Amino acid sequence: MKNIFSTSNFLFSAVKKNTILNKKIFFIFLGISLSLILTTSCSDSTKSQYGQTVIIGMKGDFDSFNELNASDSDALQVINNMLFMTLTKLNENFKIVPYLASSWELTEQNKVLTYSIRKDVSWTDGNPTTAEDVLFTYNMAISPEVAYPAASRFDMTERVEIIDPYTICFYFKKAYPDGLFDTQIPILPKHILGEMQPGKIAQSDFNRNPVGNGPFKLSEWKANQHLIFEYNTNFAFGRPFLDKVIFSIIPDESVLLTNLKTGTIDVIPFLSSLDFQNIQSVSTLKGIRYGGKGYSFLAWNCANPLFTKTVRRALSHAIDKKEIITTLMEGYGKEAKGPLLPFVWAYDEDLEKIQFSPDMAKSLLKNQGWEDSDGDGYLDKDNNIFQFDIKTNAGNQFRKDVAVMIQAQLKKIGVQTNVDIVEFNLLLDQVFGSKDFDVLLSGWEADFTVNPTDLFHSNAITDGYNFVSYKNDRIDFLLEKGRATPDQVEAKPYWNEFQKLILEDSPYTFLFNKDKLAGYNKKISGVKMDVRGFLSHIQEWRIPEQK
Amino acid sequence: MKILFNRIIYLIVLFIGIAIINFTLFFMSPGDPTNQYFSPKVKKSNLQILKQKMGVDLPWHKQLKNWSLHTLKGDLGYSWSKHRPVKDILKEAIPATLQLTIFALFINLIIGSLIGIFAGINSNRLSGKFLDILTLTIYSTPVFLLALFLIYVFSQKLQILPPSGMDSLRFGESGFWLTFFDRMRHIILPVSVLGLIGAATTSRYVQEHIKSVIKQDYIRMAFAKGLSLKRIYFKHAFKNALLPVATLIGIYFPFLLGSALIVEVVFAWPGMGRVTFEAISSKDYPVLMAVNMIAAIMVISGNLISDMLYRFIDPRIRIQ
Repeated sequence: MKNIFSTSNFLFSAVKKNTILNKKIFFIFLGISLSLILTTSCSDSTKSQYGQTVIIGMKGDFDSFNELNASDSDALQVINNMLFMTLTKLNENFKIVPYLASSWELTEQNKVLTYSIRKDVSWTDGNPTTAEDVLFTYNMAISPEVAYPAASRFDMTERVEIIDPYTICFYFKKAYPDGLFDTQIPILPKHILGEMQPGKIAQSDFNRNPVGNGPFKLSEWKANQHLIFEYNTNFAFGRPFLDKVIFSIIPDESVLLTNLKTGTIDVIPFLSSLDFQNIQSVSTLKGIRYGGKGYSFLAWNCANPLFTKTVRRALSHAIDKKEIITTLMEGYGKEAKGPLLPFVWAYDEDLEKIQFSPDMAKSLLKNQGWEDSDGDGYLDKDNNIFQFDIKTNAGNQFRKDVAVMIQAQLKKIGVQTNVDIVEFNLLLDQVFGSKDFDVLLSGWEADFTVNPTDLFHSNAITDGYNFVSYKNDRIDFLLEKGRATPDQVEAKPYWNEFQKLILEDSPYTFLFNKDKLAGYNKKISGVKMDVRGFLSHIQEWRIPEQK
Repeated sequence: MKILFNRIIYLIVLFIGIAIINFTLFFMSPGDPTNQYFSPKVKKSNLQILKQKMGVDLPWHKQLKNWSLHTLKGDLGYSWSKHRPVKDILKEAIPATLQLTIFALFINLIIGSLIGIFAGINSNRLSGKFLDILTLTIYSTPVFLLALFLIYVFSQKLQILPPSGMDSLRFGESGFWLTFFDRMRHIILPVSVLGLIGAATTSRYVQEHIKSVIKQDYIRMAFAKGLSLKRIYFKHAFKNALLPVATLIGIYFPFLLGSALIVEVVFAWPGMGRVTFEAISSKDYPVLMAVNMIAAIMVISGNLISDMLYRFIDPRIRIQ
């Protein structure tokens, strides 16, 4: 600006002399000045895209920012989207794109995966990120001393070798389709953690003072109060628009909403459907609806002789999912069709869902001998009323409401149920330990990989999550074949048949996929959220400067 | 002095008993901290490794021995849900809770006693009846409801006080006084809730006691002697009315922790209540044991203080 003023003074003095030469000089300088002003104003408008702070309201504090021990899904989102880089990442269309690795190659019949690592990535302390860090992360992830909860992602990896400082190879035991997904672990800095005993890493100060290489770095963490993240000046892909992102921890939902309305916070990533509708009437706020990875289900205890394949199928026909979505979710959800969600490549678009049909349910049950022989409104067989317990966890009012609605729907076809709300830890013991349950109302979070083996393979009855004791040899075969076929086109028929057969057998009745609802202040632009999480587009959020 | 010594020995034995009972109850309750990882993405064999690492797969007596030895060395253990030493968690949470509870106790005892005396003396007048109804209303209002009501009025409608937190996040760097006043603005609502509910309780105790004290013969005698009202109420009646307040101090110590739990959750105050709330949900035994031990110390020391105050206020107890 000082330069522009001094140039103007010179111009005025030139005009005063009133000569042709001076006129020429005047117009030349005028042109230069105008260009200078335009350039300055243009760069100002670009500059105004950067800066500012966004405050995100959260209900609970984070647990740790160390991938090796974090269990909280929000903390994992911060780790993946803000603090650490993974070798590759998923883009909006769920395609794998380069990130820390600039390229990769699958060789030796898809059994060797070689990554070329970018040479311009450094940790926030200035040290470069190299293949040594990738190997170190892998070694820590598989170390029993570290006890990394998700260590099974490397079950198919035989060994990892460094080719040169920026090239690394993953050797798989056999070719499988999820090698790229499974190696998408946030990479940790060896120069910080390498000196520690592996058993101590998960308890180190690094949990709360991480050194990362992502777009942001953590600058302050006041437990149960707030966390401040500042943009990382060294980030290889250029700085994000925001200077700071603050997470404010406010456990009470109504107080959280008051904070959003009064402008104390700018974003709430998880709103109830009622609060979501509530903010639509506030002129400064905007709602955003995005897909979640979760699905809710009723899981039938297949070891209970009451729940034969036909009975399970009949009861699935009796449940009106639409009524649940419309009444309890204000329409913010979709009917679930199976354990694979639409964002995975193996999802069968043409899979026919189980139709709501109480008549079909009654007819199937009648075939099994269940009829209302005494006219009391309930089905019976051999003097036994058709009744069972629906168990679900305490502390989740929505789930309780769903259970009560299902109870009412089943009553309409003459099935008597008792809703049993059990404390979460006790429920885990009852369902997964002693298997003392009839039906469980619960939900799972699906993954981007296609691996429902631990839920439905018969081997998982004793050692996995097949708590419903479901056994079907064909399903076992399809799961094994699907997992062993690396080519997606070749594997697709196996997965299609798997999804169809699971619906037919109905060990679970798949209920709905609940949408996630968020609210934010309209002053922020570029806010997008998708199934990858509410922070998946954090680098694009910005607050344009007020003109 | 001997009585005090005996009392302290008794309280130490009581403390050890409480610790063992608490530990046993936690051990017997279902679940463990590895439940936070429960998901098909985490293999059951990995959960078993985590259990071994946390030491929750050991039998009761071994876990109790480990905990006792570490605690005696001053090591309160490691929080498996927050992934940091319990000592660090408490170091941050205790001062935050003390800020709330000390202010609240002050409001509670001073305002509660004054209202109690006034309402007791004027129990037959309109002002006394009004205070009686007012304190009864506050006393019977749930803590969270009063908290939400105050937030609605002062934060959402009038927008003069912040609805939650300890500090303003958009405040930036500022001097001592600005930070101090900002903290004061944040503390008003939670302290008011804790203090008002406590004051209502105190006033009702004092009020009832004053009513019975002013019917005593020695007060009648004081009236008959023609002493001034101020002298009768404050010198003769109030001293006796202090006895229930001394009892209440003993009760209030743990009560303040319990009420602080709800107030801290509603007002997002980062104190012991929040720590307890989160530790319960995640079955974080080391944190829960530490919190329970602090609560036990508070109850025990509260009782000790009220015993001592009794002896100070009432000479009859001292002689006995």
